[in-house]
Amino acid sequence: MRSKAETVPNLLAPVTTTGRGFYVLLLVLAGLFAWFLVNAVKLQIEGHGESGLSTPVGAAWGIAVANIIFFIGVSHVGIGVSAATRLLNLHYLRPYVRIAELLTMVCLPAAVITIALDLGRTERFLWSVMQFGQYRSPMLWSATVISVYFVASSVYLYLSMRRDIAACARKVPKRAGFYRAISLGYEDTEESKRVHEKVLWWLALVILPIMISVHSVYGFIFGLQGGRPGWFNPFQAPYFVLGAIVSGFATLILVIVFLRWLFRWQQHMPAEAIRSLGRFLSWMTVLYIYFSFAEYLTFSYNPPAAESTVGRSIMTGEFAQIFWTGMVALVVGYFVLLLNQTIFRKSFRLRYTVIGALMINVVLYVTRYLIVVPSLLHPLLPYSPGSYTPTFAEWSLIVGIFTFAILAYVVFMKLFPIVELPEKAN
Amino acid sequence: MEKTTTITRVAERQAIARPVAGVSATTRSVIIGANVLFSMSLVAAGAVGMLTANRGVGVEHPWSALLWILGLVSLFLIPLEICVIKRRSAAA
Repeated sequence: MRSKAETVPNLLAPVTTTGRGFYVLLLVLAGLFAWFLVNAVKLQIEGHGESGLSTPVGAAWGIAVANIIFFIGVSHVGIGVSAATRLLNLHYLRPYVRIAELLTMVCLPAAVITIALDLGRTERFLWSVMQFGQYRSPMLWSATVISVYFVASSVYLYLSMRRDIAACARKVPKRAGFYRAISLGYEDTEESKRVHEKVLWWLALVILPIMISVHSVYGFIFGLQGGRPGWFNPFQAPYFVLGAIVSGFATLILVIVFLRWLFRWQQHMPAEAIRSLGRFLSWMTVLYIYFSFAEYLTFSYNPPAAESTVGRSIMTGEFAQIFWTGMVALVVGYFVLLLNQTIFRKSFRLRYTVIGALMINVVLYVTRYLIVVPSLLHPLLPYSPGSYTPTFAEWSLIVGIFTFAILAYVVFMKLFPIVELPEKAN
Repeated sequence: MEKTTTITRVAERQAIARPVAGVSATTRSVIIGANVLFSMSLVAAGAVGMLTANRGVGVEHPWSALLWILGLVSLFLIPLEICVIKRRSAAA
């Protein structure tokens, strides 16, 4: 059994120890990020001639929009898990909350950067929304909820880790000044802890509805477009929220298992808690399968002509291969989780949880692509259907955005403890 | 035992002698109240500006959306102020 004194240095290992692998990883990420910056600047100068996104015989929105929905979805779960842990007193999830919170903090900017680049001329969008934004526009709702969610989440993350930052000032002497400065004079007294806990509880209560609103707004951006077959749907907002929960939990499980393996935190992060997360993911996935079934049944039963065209292209046309492979993988992923987490509990294996979560995550990414692209390829005006294949410039941007998210996560882990330090350590 | 008592007395004397960092409860309330007032003013100005704008007849209230967002965002500084601004202890 590890003592408290041994546990703390172990939990601070990412902050205190730097191996050669870290520098190699940093170099690779920095290289990819530089490549991303070159492409981003080119896109700003040359506009969408560079990405190939166009109408009416192509797709104005492509893989970048699928990427935005994915990142917004993952950001959804981070603070959500943390807030639920605090409000519902789920103590067994405490070691995982900061890993989850940080997912929000890196995925939300990643989504915003993707939006900015997808627009081509970013400055015009910002200028238009901020100067002439209308309360009727879902774009203004989006700017509002994302700004509020990001600031609220940052304050929440900072307050929840302030005690640990102050502890780092003592435990990592070479960066003591830095930690002392950003802990803003934190004193580890009973009164201080009580005030922080109380404020965080109320903040968690406020953040949860904001979090729901963030992904609902993205559902509305699609669902409120009355003339757009495949998008106009009153169900869109809850469907998006559910999709966000599924992809967010799947990503969270993958990140937790990876960090647990990398830093040998098996003792601090019991597999039983990850099994609970996987069980929750499996129930959310079956709900998502049900939502998908209801949507595609309505889509194919007796739809209006335009809906029928888009539906056929997804289920039997050019997107059928992606659609059916995705649906089969989603069901298989669900059964892997169900069997591993719930039915054969005694022979539970973490690797099957990872396989299930990975399959579900990939499918959810692909599903977002199927929401965005097929509808846009069937123009409302009398043009013949177009085609869409992501260009090299688009792929470069997508890889760059993922690089940004990973780089930000790695840098944060180098500076701050990624796991809440035990009470005694402070 | 004697040593512990001496250390405690020295600490007490130092605590009394040193000025205690922090502000009075009134100052703290005024800061937080000012934030609430400032944020709500921005939110209200932005909301009214957006609601009354009608570009069709040339009534524009530019930057209302920015005011609205800044107002909402600045509300979330309040939890930070509650935790960071220390109250001067009664002993001081």
